[in-house]
Amino acid sequence: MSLYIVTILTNMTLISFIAISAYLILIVGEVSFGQQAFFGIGAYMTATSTALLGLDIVVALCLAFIVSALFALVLSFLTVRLSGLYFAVASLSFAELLRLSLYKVDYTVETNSGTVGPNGPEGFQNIRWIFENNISPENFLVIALSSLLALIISLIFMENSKLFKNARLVGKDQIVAQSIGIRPFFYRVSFITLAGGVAGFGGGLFALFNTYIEPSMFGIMLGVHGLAYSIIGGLGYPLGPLIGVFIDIGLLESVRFLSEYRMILFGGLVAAILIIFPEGIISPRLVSRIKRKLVEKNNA
Amino acid sequence: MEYIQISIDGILYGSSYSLIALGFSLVFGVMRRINLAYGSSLLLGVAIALWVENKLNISIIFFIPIVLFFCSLSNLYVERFCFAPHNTKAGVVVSMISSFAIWMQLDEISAQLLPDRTHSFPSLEISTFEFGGIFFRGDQILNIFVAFIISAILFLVVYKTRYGIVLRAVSNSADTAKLMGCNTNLVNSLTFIVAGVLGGIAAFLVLSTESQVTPLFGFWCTVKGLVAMMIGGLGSLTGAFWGGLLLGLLEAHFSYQFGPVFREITTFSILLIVLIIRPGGLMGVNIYKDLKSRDERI
Amino acid sequence: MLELKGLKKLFDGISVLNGVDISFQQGSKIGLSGGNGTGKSTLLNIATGFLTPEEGAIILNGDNITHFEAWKLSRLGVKRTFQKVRFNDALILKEQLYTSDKIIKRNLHMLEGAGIIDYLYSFPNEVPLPILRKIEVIRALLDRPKYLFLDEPSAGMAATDLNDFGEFLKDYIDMETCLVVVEHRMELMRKIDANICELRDGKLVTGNIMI
Repeated sequence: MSLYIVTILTNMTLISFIAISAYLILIVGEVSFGQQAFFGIGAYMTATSTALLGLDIVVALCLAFIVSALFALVLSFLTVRLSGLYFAVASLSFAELLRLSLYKVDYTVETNSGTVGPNGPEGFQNIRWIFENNISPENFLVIALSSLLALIISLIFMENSKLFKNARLVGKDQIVAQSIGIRPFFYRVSFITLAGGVAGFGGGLFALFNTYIEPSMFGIMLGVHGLAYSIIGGLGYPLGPLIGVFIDIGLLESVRFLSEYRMILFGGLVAAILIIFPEGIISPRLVSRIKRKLVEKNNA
Repeated sequence: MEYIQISIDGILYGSSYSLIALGFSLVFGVMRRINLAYGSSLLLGVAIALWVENKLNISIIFFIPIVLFFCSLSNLYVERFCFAPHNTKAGVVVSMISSFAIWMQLDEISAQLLPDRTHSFPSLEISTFEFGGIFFRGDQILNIFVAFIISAILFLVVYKTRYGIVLRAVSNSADTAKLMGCNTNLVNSLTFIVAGVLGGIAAFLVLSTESQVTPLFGFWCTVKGLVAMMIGGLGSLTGAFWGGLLLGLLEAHFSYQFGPVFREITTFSILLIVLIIRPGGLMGVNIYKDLKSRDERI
Repeated sequence: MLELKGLKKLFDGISVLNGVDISFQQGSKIGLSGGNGTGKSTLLNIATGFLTPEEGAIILNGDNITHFEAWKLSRLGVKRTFQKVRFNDALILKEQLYTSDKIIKRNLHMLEGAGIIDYLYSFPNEVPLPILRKIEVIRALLDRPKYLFLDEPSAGMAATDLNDFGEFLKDYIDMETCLVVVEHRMELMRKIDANICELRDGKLVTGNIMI
């Protein structure tokens, strides 16, 4: 495999984490414009724990998950009264606040491989984990892809659990949810927190892969992409977000003559897909229809 | 004295925010939707106008109507593409996301039209004057004046004319208005065109005080306009006016005290605090309550 | 016993309920009638926790639960249905009973008796309204409610459907449950032998009701 393809596949894998985190929030009926910040927090956390503290990668990624989940927990408590447009705008401003405060984080250490540590707008340089451990790009792709697969498979298994069914009901109709004894608050908080953790985990992998991060990487456009992927993919099934990722990066960016106009094409494509499929390509209704077909086939 | 000078500068700078926020407020007030592509559609209008100006080399008098025309045209494009197809209740969020996606597209087209990082913009060349030891920028005084006039005219149109009655009917309940024979489709398109003209005026005034355009103008417009509107009050025209000035005032003081990054930090902190404490904004509480009680009706 | 004491509720300064006292005994059947806008639905929404009263108290078996949220009341056994049936268009009806297959199997006789078994794999928009109303009631009944509030079940139903619906209620609401029907048509209340109270000018009137 050429390095070019490996890089594209790795990028697709990494951005899928944001797409899935946006998907998790969409399940409970909210739209978040702020998942990029949790991605950024995870990236900084992992960079700090591997490059500064010398922690093991598994510990580092777990820390990235936990810390960004904690930030998301704060967001969910702050926005407990908000929904719809208000939640979307609040998540955007929360994310921008987190990102802007990274400009003020300044703690560098001189090592024999250069300056290490977050350095305000200059970013965090020299995250040397892949060099120190001799990880080739192919190996890194395997690591990233297997974590993504593990995440998706566990989501597919949880799809039929009570937790997910109730969360979907909360997202669809809070009044019915309350009338059958489901507490919307609990599902909202736990899904927003979980989504923050997932984004942070992806951010951690991103920091290791990129070896260099800076606050401006985690701007709003990253969040738009993640959200757009999960929206056009649809909320029916955890594979939905990956469809969006595939359309954008797999199709538009990798085809060379399209990649220059990728943003123009993709923006229009999202709007067009939303006109044809307002609920995304794999919509919940489509999934129910397929399930019903399968049941009928079994009975026949 | 220094304190007063900073306050004056802040308020005058805030007039740009007010101008942008008025367009946002108009769209939200009528359609109960947020158009996140507003800033980028203004950027696109300006970019096309500059491109035309470059080709034809026209004077500033003809340049202004060209800016207004292309701003309203690109706004109409957003309405037709992102808002008209999603006119059901479930479409509120879908249209917002759709406009969010179009944001990328419009920004990218503008970047292709304006390949340089910064691009000069015709300035009105109004001089700064001094009054009692305090300096006032003439062009910013013009901005605040125009913002005030526009909000006054909009207020009169919305509350005193037939078109205003239709607007308020559609805003109150689009379905009922439709049953009463209003062409809601036309009203929505008109609203976007008017918002485009307003935005064009705003964009022209703001850019001529800066005398340059950067590709970040779209993002700047959307964020500042949105924040100013949400602080002042969702869908409230006077709220948008005062919200912009207040935002400018606070930003000026905080960035003076703590450094330039705090200009942005202030913007988002204020927005978050207002959303948490008073989600309808300072002057739009009734609209917020009304929408909320409608959503929660069983 | 679920008691509502001295309930007062204002909407935009207009008094809808003005000191209502009523108590619901398990095993009883109560019909709450009244003209349009007399606050029948408001009373139901307060009793099930979807609205909070300005004044007054809700007491369940001696405990004050006035400020409990709706989900908590639902877990305590106070359930309801909706005037406008609320279903998710994207899910088949079996999924929308929100219960396990085990419980569905155990209650198969009820589903069969109600005549909804053939509709379980349909989407809500493929099913007639009377069936949807029954499914809403069954969704509540599967949780064994102690108090069940039906909000205008007759809305949009023809007389024969209403008769059938009344039979269904008589057959499947047991003596453990207090059934409260909020309604302005009298046929259904007579069918299930409910004690009828009427809301008039924000107060409750019992007996001597003009039909």
